[in-house]
Amino acid sequence: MEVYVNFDLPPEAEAELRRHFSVVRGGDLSNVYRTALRKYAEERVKAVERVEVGEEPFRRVVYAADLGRLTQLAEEEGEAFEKALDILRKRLNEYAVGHGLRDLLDVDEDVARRLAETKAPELSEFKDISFGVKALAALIAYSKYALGRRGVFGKAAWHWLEVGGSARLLYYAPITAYLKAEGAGW
Amino acid sequence: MRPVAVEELVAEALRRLFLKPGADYYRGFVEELAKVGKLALEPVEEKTNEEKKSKEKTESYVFRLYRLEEDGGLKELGIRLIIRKVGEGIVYALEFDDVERWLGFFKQELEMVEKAAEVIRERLPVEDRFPYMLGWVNSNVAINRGLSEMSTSHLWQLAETHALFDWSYVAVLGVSLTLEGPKPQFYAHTSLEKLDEAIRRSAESGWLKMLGVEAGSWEGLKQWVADHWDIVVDAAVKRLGEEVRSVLEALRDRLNDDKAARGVIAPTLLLIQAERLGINEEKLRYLGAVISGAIGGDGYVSAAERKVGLVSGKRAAALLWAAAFAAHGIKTKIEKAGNAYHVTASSDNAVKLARLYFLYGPPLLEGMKK
Repeated sequence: MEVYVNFDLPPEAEAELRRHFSVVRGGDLSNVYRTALRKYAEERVKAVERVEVGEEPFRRVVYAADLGRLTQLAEEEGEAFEKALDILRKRLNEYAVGHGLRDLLDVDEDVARRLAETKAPELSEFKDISFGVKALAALIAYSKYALGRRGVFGKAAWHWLEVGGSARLLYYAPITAYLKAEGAGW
Repeated sequence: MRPVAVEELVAEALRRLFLKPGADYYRGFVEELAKVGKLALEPVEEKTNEEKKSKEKTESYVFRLYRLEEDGGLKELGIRLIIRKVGEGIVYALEFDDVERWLGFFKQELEMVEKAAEVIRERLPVEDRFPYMLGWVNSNVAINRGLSEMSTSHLWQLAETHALFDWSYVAVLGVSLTLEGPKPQFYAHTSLEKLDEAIRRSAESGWLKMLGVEAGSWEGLKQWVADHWDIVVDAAVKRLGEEVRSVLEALRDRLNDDKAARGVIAPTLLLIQAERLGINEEKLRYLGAVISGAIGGDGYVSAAERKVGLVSGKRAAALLWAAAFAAHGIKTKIEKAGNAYHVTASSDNAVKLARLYFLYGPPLLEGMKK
C-alpha cells in the first residue's frame, strides 16, 4: 500500500514508514486540501469589490459584496473539508485492512477531535495514540488553524503542511510534534 | 492592523456569518441577511460601541451596511460592521442600530434563558442570593447610572445572572462574527434596586448579618466597607506581608467609585468572614457562592491543568483575592499578564476551590452549548 509524502523525513521515520508502506512522493491528501482552502480564500476576495456609487457630487466609495456567492463558497468550503476527511478515513481504512494494521491505524474520531481542539497543558495526555487518530486530528486542526483558531496541535499540523514534515508529525507523540514545530519557529 | 486589503477583511467578516455551528443555530438571522443579495459596505468615521463605552480610540474599521439596488441606489439596513484590532488578533462584529428590529430572530434563545433561569433559581445551593450576585458584580455585572447591567455572548451567563438579577430589559445589540459562526451579543439591565433589595435581605437575615455588616443598599455597603477598611488592610497584611499595606490603604479613598468598589468588595467581605467567623464548612458555602459568579465572569476552572484562576484588572483587587483565599486556607499565586493580574490556585489548592465552585455554585445547565 502507498503512503503519499512530499517532504523530507527523518531517517528513522522513513525507515519505520517503509516497513509498512510504499512511500510515494508528491500529491498527498494534505496538499489537495491546502490547495482547496487557498482557492476558496481567493474566490472570497473576488466576491468583494471596491466600487463607486451615486452621481456627482454625491458619488462615494463602497465595498460591494455578493452575499449569494459568499454563501455558495462557504457551503463548498465545508463540503471540501468533509470530502478531505472522508478520503482520509478511506485511505486509513485501506491501509489498515491491507496490512493488518488495525491497531496502528485505528481511528477513534472522538479522540481525534479532542486532540485537534486540545490546549498545550493537555497535549501530553495524548499518549500511545494511533497513526490514524493523529492523521485525522491533524487535518481537523489544520483546517481550524487555517481559519485562524490557533490550537497547539494545529500549530504542529501547520508545520506539517506548510513546511514539510508530515510523517514526522504522525510518527512523533503529539506533544513532541508540537514542541518540534514550535522549536522551528512556528 | 496588519497590511491586508480592506476587501480581504470584509470577505473574512462575511464568511464568518456562514460558519457552523453559529450559522445553524441562528439560521433565521443569517438567511434574513443573505436575502439582501448584493450588499454595499460604506466605510464611515463613527465610533464603535466599545469606543463609546471606554472613550478610547481603537484601531478599527467601521462600515455602514446597505442593500445595493439594481439601479445602483443604496438602501440602509441599520447595521454596522466593525472590524477591530484586539491584541494580536482581529475581531469582527455586526452592530444593530435598531435592536428591537432583530430581537425576534433570537427569541428561541431568550426563551431558553428564561426557562434555565427558573431552574437555577429553584436549585441554588445557598439560600441567600446576595453572595452569588456579589460574585457577578465583581466580574461581568457593572453598575452604571442607577442600573445593574451586563453584556455577554454566552447564554449560560445570561441565564445565571437572570436567575439572580431578574433582568427587566434584554436586547441583542449585535452579532460577533467568530470562527464558530455568528454569536449574538446580549445586553441586559435592571434597576439597581434589585441589588439593594438583596443587600437589605442579606443584612436582615442572611450572610451580611452573620458578618455584622449593616447596610441597606449598594451605596450603604460601599460606605460600610470604607468605614471598616483598617480591619481589611490589617487582615490582608497578616496573610500577605507588610509590603501590601500601602497599596491597599490607597484604595480607601476610591471605594466610593462603583468600578473600584466592584472589584474589591467581594474579596473584602470574604476576608472579613474569615477574620470574624473563622473557617468551617458553612462559611465555605459562602466562599463557593461568591467565587461562582467571580469565576463565571472573569475566571476559569481547568481540570486538566488542575488550576483555578481569577483575572483582575487591578493589582490591589488581586491582592485582596489572594488574601481572602489565604484566609480560607487556599494558597494562590499572582501573575501579571498583559494589563491583567491572574490569581491562580494550583494542585490541591485548585481542587479545594473547584470543589467549592461545583458544590455551592449554581447548578450546571444541560443543553446550553450556545
